[in-house]
Amino acid sequence: MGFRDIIAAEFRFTYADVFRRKITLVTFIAYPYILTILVLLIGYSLGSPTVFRERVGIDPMVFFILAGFTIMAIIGVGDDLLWRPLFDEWMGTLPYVMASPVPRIQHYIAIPLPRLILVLISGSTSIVPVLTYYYGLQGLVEGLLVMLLTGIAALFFTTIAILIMGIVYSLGGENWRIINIIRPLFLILVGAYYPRYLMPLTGQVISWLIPSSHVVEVIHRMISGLYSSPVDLLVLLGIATALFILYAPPGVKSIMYWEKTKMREGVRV
Amino acid sequence: MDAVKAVLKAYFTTELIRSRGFIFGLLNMVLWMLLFLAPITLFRPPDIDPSVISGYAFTAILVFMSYSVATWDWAWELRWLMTRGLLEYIIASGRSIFILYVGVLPVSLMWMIMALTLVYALLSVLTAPPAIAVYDPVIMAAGFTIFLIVLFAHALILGGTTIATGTSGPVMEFISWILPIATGGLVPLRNMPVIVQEIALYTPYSYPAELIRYSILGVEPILPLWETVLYGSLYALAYLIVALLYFRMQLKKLLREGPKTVGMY
Repeated sequence: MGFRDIIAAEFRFTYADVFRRKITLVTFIAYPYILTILVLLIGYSLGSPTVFRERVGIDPMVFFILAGFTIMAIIGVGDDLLWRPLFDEWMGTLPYVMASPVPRIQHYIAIPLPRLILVLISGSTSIVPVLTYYYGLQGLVEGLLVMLLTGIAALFFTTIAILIMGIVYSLGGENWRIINIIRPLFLILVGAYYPRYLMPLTGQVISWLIPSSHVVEVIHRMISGLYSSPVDLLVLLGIATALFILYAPPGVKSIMYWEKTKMREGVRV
Repeated sequence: MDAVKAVLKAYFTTELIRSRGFIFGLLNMVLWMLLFLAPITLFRPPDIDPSVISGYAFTAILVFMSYSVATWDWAWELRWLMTRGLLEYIIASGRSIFILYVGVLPVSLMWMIMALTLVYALLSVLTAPPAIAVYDPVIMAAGFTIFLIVLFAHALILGGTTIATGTSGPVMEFISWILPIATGGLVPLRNMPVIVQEIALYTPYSYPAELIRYSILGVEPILPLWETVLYGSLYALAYLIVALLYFRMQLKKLLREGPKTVGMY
């Protein structure tokens, strides 16, 4: 079974589920708006959008719709990878996954793709109309660019997520609970809801290690105009790419180690 | 009562003791709070008393977390039971599913108290200690009682939908997010646009939130106080009756058609 077959199978599996439970599709579209309304309502009732604009350099509505969209894409990839082994174990399907001749790495690379594509397409109902409304034609172009960059940010999250997944599940037992800490921690440090350039130094340093955080910063700087030349943004994308590649070999090893551990200990059903 | 105690013991052990669940749970909660609280601090004008801002934020989180308990600890518990294939055993035992809810309640309350303490500490560090006080104990008691009834009804509607669809259906997603936001759960109704105020007053959710805010923040509700109590109580009871009927209907459907398959999302 080639990689293309695995991807095709994963697409069929996910889309059959999504289109059968159409509400999943609706939630992809609604979530960026829901999260934006949540933060804006509290923020507006407690303070002022002008103060926010002065501090961040972006209108709060634009900033939080971007945040909701990028978080949906990144968390989607993270969740697909970090929870899938546990879900398979609970559903009793893990022994079949283990017994199948499909290369594990190819399988886990393919898993987040179908949902990520759906989330990215859903950007045409959230960031594109909002940015077009605020910035006109330039906003439309930026909206499309943000969709592309968000796709890159989410894809760049795969290798680090695979690395963590392999390590956490290799530890066995109920150590999967660590994911409950890692997941929100990543979401904070990726800088979508709180710009990285406003974080304290320690936060910035840790955030720097996450490939997607650089792409999120590119999005923020592009929208707010906080860059002297496009080279600044390309440098950030270069760092993100380098980190993405850097996490790949240990990620592969961690998956292989997890697989070996499971084969040795057996799968609990 | 024995069944309730057994559920309490089981959940206490699973959620708080086993595999350092208490520590992981607490850290998880702090981080999620931080994710949404940190950007809110960016709205704060330098000339406004930060403790007032903290007080509003604390109350908004109190209301939001209460909805979370009803959604994730009660309604979502049924989905969890379906995932583990346990729901059939509970039904076959002939016991009421509500025994589970009663048994889980003390664990949920413990969580909420710990989480709110953490939120208080976080707000104190990020902005200032929240300016909250008990302005009217009677209204406070009334507010929380009505709130509990509404939350129970809320959990029944979501739980009913979950067992009917096998996943978090439209009602689950939208009620759990939009309603607390749109019905004045997070922000005083008088700070909302008129259209939202009118919609909010057509739902049972707005009244207890207004009463709780009045009792601990001193923010006047948009309706006269005793009208808020009266309409809130009547509305909560009516909502509970509708929710009970809906839940029973879904349970009967489940017994007729069998449990649904569970989706990952």
